Amino acid sequence: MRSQRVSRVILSGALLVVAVTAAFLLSMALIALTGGSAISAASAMLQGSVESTASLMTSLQRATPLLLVAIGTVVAGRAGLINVGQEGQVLVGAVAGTAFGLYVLGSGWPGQVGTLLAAALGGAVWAGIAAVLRTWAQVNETVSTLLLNFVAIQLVYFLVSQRYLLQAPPGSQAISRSLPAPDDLPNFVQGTGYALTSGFIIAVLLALVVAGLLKRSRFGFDLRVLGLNEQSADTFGIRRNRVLITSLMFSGATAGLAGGVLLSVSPGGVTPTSSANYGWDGLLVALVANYQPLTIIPVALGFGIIRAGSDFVVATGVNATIAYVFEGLIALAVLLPAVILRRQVWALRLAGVTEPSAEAPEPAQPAASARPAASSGGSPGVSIPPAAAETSRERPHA
Amino acid sequence: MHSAAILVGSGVTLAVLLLFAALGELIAEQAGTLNISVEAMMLAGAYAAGAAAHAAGSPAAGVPAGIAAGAAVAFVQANLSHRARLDQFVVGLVLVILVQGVTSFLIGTTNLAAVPSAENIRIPGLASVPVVGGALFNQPWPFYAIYLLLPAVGWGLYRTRWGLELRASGENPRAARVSGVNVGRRRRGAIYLCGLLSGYAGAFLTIGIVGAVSEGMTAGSGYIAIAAVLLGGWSVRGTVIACAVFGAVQGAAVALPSLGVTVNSQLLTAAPYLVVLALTPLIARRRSQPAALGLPM
Repeated sequence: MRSQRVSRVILSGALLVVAVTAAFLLSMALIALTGGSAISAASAMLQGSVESTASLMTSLQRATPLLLVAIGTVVAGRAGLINVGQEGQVLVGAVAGTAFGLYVLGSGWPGQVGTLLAAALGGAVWAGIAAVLRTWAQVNETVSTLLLNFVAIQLVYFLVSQRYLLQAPPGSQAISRSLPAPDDLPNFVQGTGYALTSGFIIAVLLALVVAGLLKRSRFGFDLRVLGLNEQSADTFGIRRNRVLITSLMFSGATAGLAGGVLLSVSPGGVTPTSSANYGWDGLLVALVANYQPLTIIPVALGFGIIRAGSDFVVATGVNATIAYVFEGLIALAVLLPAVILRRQVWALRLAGVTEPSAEAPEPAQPAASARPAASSGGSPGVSIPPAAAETSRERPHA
Repeated sequence: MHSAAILVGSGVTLAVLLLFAALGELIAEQAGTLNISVEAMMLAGAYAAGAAAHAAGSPAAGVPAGIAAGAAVAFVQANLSHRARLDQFVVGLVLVILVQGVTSFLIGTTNLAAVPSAENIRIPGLASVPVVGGALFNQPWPFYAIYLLLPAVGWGLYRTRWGLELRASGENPRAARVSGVNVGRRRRGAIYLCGLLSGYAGAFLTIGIVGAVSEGMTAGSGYIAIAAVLLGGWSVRGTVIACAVFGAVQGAAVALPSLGVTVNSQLLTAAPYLVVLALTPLIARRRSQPAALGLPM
């Protein structure tokens, strides 16, 4: 059984490599088909993302907001909440941080810390709207967070196009004044030609702390129980609403923090497009990592590499949006091995099956919802529900 | 032209654009899929219609191309979520990101700033009705499909065996399966229909309204269509009314500046979303949504 599990891990790893390679080749084929040079694009991609220390640092820099967004997404996801409002939360965070830096305190380390905290608070409040709607009026948070994204864009548009609020002096554009000390996060690593701000370290530490808390703390336990079954949460005496509100607002806070970190990475004022898809991609990171708090770290790094590489590809005359094509294909590629593996389980099942019914694509889903008729037979020929086949082969003999 | 007619005109056009997609989404949701990829289907349809119309030099080529592109997205969504049983929401989100990326990339490599657009057809007599006549009966020809589609969807969903099975798949898939309904097939079929209709909506946007293809041109229309289905309480009539409301608000945003009225444009753009957000508590209380909406079989 153990060797079976090991071979499954190896198989899924191999499938993943194949799938990601296929996604890469498809992207390059698209470049070639549209008249670009796939070879030079591919080499530029590597050059911009992993070839030198400087480019590696750029990749880490790009990964930072993605990781922050994903951390919160995982926490909300554990409570059974599907937050899809990260893009708006990042944006509101960025504008809240800017407002703090411009109007309250913009310089020195208190200003930097305050900017980040204000950004986190902004994101938390934005997500809080959805949390309140969910707990007071049973409004599905997926719907409300989705809609709030569009409201956030217009809100920020408004804030940065009014002179008396945040708009930059030369007049008519929708862009905010930039912070007094633009490069406001202290560098963690610095060398000739490259630097890594401490934002990355903050993000990784936060991911580790959250992973620990989810696993070991009372709050992590509450979250998981709530996410698995709302009724049993009541039995455990868990204050459902409080946990829901806290986790959704925490998710907003990390997204807002990502917006605050973006301020130091790309100085020059907030615009309605400042979030630059970091929110959606961060959500994608969490989904691809299957809501595992430690898995998001490598996945975010991978997506950071893609982003950094694609920025470099522009120099070869290829449109920068190739990054989104590649990210989309990668996400599909990462989903596919799970499908193929499941098919393999079906194949196992079919091989040992005697019951002819099997319109195979629709087996009963939950393994636990006993199929008494089949399993009480106990002969080696009975069908094994897919999930049971994955975990233990002995169980059907019970 | 009379200012009321201008307002109604742009309102009706945008409402019908939403309605094409929203009817598709309604079918998908009745069968139990909260189909986020409707935005991807519309965008793919809009791009493909523009590219085909440009290549063929005729707007008529855009319609089948748009429908085909919507169907292609639907094929991926339907089979990954209801055959390979991946999370429907994850699949939808990935498709939106992928299609946004692919269309943006392709737009960057081809010039589709002006594509042939569909000509207006004026229905004699009816088009002369004051205020609403022009809006309803003097429109680009792809518009008129709505008059056939609306009764067809209502009839199909509520008056046929197929519609009953489809709604059962969204309401209680286990019971439906026990009664011999192939739930997966019904759900996939509903998504295919959604793809056809949303692809058509995208084509209508390109060749019937804008006459050009630009990056992210659907700008969240697919999400507004989803919101319209929610707001409409999962009924055909409610969806029509919700689309009319959204169309009116968006139409006002387009038409008011030309009428010399100044309303904050950001507020107007955000208005449809704010309206839905404000109304969601009522919808949540009404509980008319398909019981198994968004849940896997």
